[in-house]
Amino acid sequence: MTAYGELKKDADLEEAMARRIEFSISDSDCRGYLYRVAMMLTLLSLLVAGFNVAIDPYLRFGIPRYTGFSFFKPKAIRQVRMAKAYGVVRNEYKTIFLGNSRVDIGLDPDSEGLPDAFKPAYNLGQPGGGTEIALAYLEHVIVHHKPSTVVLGVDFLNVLRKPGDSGQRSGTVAIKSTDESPMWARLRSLDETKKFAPGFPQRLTDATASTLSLSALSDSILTVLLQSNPYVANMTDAGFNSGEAFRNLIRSEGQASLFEQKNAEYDDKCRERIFPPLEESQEIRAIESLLRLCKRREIRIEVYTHPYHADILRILNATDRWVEFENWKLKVSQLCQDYDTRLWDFSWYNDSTTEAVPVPSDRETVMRWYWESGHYRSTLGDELLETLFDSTQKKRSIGKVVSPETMPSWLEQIRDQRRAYESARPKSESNTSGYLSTSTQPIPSTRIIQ
Amino acid sequence: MLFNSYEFIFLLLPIALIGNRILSENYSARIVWLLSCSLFFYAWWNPVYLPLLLSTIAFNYFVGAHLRAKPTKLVLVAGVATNLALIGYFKYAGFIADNIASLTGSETHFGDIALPLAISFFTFQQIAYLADCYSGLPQRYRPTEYGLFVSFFPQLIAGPIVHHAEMMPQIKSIRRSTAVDKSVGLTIFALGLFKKAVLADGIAPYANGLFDDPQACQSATLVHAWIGVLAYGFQIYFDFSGYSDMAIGAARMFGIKLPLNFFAPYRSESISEFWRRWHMTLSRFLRDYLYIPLGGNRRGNARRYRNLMITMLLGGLWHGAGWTFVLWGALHGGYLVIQHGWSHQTKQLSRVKQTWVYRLFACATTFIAVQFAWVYFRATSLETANQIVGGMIGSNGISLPHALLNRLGGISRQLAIFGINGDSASGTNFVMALGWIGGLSLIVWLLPTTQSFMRRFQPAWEYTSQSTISRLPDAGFGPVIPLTWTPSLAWSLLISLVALVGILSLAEVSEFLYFQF
Repeated sequence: MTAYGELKKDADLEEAMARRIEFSISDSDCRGYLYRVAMMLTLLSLLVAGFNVAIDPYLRFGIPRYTGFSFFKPKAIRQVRMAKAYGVVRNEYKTIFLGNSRVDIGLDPDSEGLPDAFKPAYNLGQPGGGTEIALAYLEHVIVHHKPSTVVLGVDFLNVLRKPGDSGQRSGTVAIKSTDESPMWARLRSLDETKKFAPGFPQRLTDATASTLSLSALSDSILTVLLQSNPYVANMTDAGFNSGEAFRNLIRSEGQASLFEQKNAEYDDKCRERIFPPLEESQEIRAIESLLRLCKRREIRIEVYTHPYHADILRILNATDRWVEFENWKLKVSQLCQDYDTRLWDFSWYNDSTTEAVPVPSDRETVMRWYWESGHYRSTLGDELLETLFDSTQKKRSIGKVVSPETMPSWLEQIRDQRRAYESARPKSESNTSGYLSTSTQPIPSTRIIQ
Repeated sequence: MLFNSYEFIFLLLPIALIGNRILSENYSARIVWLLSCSLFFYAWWNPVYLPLLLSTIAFNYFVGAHLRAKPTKLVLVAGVATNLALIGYFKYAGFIADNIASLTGSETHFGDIALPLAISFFTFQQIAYLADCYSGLPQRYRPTEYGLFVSFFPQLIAGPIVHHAEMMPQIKSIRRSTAVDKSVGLTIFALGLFKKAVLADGIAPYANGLFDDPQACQSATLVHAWIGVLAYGFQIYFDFSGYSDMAIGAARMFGIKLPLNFFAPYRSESISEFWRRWHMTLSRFLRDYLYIPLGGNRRGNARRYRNLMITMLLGGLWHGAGWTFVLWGALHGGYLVIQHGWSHQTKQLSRVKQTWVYRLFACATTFIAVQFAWVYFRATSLETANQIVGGMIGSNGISLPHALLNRLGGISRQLAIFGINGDSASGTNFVMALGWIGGLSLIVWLLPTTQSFMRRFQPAWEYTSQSTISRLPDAGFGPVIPLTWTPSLAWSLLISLVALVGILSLAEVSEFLYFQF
């Protein structure tokens, strides 16, 4: 059957017809075309889906890892909300680490600092997330199984909020914003009425996004290509981000540059944001809700303040946040006491938090305890876990249990440390030198493994 | 429901096609079926506005019937005014009230009214219908036929703005779609999906990086401002081109040929040519139902320029209730006036105008003028738009990312002599943005349009008769690689790949830019 004979008068098409006979096509030609397109589309889709499931770049399926092919998961750290929501319910973890990126990068669930009795553990740290997100993830875990222990890292910077934000929001994260809506939809809630219906479409979307999407395909290909990179980032099956990607940055820019960039960021944050009344702070409410949940479910919880590098402590003082920082600590210690748990304070001056930063021209040295001022390495995380779980307390102590009663004198001690540190190290030197107390020696940095 | 969504591609479209096939022997049932699918498609977004769509269809159908039986100016004016009042209330009332409030110092706020989807499109379509009924439309349509003409889902949401003279004969003689229709429709749809989901969405972040960041707008230096604006220029190009292809492709699967809406606008050598290639059905509507009734070019140049300005200002306002859209329309109106003035003054240069150099200059000038206007179209406020335009003309200086300069070695020192220094922007993003802009430029100025590629198989309504073919735009300025589709093995392979990449891109759904208008 000839199609579209009426176009024969068109000069352009007439010319085309004269040269190409195919102008006349039949329905059967097109049926063959449709059949071939349908077959190829199906085949190619299956191939893409199979490849993506095998590589599992976002740890969506928990497929076994193959060395040289899919062992490291550098792209999972970009999909951390999704990866950890599914990862944490693949096993019955005894211990759950909660907090923001400091926890994500700092606490290794396989750490030797964590006694075997508390393993297996899972790192549920969510970069950019406040305690409200941590609470939602904990509920998600509890719907699946009840962990025996929770470690919660609390962060003063989460309390600060943008000037335009309502008091109902915590500082760093726009809670339940549109961008975060997939996260809320995929998490299981302890509220029975929300349990299934909202989650299913999101889980379907996640499965599709992890198998039949262009970004999953490109991330799978990159995952394979990056396997031989010595500094490839990775998320373990226990949710830990090793922070290895920092080594690439250090090699190109040096660790002093990382400190400088992050210090500027924290400085801006402290200057621009406001400290809400604590009774109105969503972050404080979330901490209380989380403590209440743990108490009601008989889950042991260890709460700790992050071991900020002394650079951040200096910024808090320089931006007039110090009193608020102390008030926040006091408030959290009060909450912990109300719910019969301990607060560990790691944010003070000691030989770890005052570790010397390499000079700007040094692009080889990697500090022992820190990636940059806000993010400590798992080496310090190991010590932190050991401090939290060592019942004998024989190790050198980098953390101190504080209560509302002991807090005033403890804060006074830190103020003294601060004065000593800042007088010994004027601001101009702060980025490149650490605190040299009379009682401790600087700890040598490790070298990059070439 | 978006065309680039799983529910449309894997649910509504196949089900509608299957129903269309089953009911192929029953004309009335097919019309009702397609009408039902269209209303479902509309209601999926927000069912609240379905009664509004149905009411406006019923109202215009009865007014049209009355005008056909007894053409009275009063009824026509009342009918058109009702349509304009509807769009005025939903689209412009807040804008007008806010401006009055700011002028009078009042603090009253009109309140936020959700804009019913596609109201700008179906209102214009029906105003044209009423005007033609008044002028003596010969045929009478059934309510379901008329309802399908207004709401046919491939063109309902964002055009093309179809004319009843194009659609109704096809609806009335609706035939069983053939494998040729399905092949051609599928191919055009797949190409459109690729343009939208891969190309437009792919370059979008580089435009958003400028327009969505107040600090970036304020401090954008020359190169960064141009990158953001060009990224948007290509984003909206492929977004609208992709959408138009998907609309035409989806309709063709049912055997219906929609009119062309987009034909290589960046190959235009003048602004008037740009408007003959960009949103062609809107341009046609504005010409036939606004510019010509205003007097067109019949009463001298001054009246002509006034009519052009009014038409483009209202065309700008049609896109959105905001001063940025008004200014965008004013810019295009101004461009048209300048162009006509230039053409008038340089009549004697007709031979020069045929030269390749002049045509290149004309095409580049048109392209740059359009990009400046896009700034006002995209920016969230006049202030932001002015800041970006300032950046584009160098008021914030010229800078390149440090990361890039560091790799340029000695060249960066030479650049510093000319005042081109480093900035803290991401070098990777900078290079990626240039890569996208370069790649998409090659597509725009080397590859044929979808309709040229498919031109042997009536890829749009204009290709169905000799008289309309003669009115099609030519290929435009620049070379065109002469690719032509046939249902061959090679093309089935390539189109499968294009379709696959488009489908894989659905995982991150984004809205079409033209949905907001």
